[in-house]
Amino acid sequence: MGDSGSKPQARVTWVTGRRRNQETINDAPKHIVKIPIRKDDQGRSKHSAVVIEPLRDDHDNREKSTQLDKAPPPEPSKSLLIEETPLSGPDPTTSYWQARAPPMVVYNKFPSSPSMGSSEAVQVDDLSDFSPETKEV
Amino acid sequence: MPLFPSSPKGQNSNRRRARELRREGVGPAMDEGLVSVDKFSGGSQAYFLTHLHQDHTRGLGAAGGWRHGPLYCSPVTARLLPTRFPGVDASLLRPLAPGASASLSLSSPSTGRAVSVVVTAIPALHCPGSLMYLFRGDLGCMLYTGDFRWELRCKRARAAKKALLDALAGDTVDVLYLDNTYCHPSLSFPPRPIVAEQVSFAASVSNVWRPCQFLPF
Repeated sequence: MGDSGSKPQARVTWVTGRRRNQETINDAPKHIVKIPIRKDDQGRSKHSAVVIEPLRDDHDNREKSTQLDKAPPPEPSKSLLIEETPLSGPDPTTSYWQARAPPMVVYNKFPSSPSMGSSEAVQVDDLSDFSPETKEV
Repeated sequence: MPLFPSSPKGQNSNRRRARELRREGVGPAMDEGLVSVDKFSGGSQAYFLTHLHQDHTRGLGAAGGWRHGPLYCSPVTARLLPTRFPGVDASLLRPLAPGASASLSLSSPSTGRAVSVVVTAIPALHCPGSLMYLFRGDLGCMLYTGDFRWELRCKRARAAKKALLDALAGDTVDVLYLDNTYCHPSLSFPPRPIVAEQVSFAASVSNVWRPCQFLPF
């Protein structure tokens, strides 16, 4: 997503479960539903849902445009190491991650070249597993 | 998270008025060209933008810029809009702060009768400046969620829910326009604080922070 010719941003990815997440996201329903909470004059039942076609110009093409807006993910880095150890310390979020069991990803640091000064280059992959996707403004 | 209070007893005057208008052929505002939400192809008397993501702004960048009518959005979105759509006529922008309301005097396309609508902006918490819109008035009570993210333990979401309930003032939503893109039970995302912490951790171990435009918050 972005101007023509711009490079896709480097993004982080969770290697485990990536395929499943992509598949479920691709299968996600993507539309507005109109839900009458009360019966109208025609006696339609409550909570019936219908797809609203006129609300958006791109309704029929939304999935396509969403796909077109996505940057192609780079190949996963072979240097990524996956550890099963959760975050250390009495962190209230640890129990969540233990339940969800996403492995931690540790990035190998590569020796820096002279032109890069003191900073160390780190390879990162796409962030497609972080959902929902942020749509480009 | 429950969104609506229990139904009040009996019908109120707005609902009776809405039935009368429907008998005259005036349906819900979004369907009859009175107002449009996230649809900018013309033909309505007032337009509402929920947020500034690309798939919700199609039509705003048409040749000649936006000229169709008053465009309501949040102040944040109003500030960003000209940078994205330079041709927009700034005098048509109607910034509506979260929690604020605006009264609209519209005209029924079929009968020419006056139609009164009050719209209240509710924080949607999808992205900066994102809004839900609650429409109340002669056409009944309609809620358009847009893209939204209300998490159970989020204080801002609880405040937004309170704002919605306050705006309803005991009334019940007649029609809900729900964007359920990610509502399938198989889609389960970690809460924002978890994501933020993981991003922070990734940055700390990498020693190099690379801003990424695809982060979901």
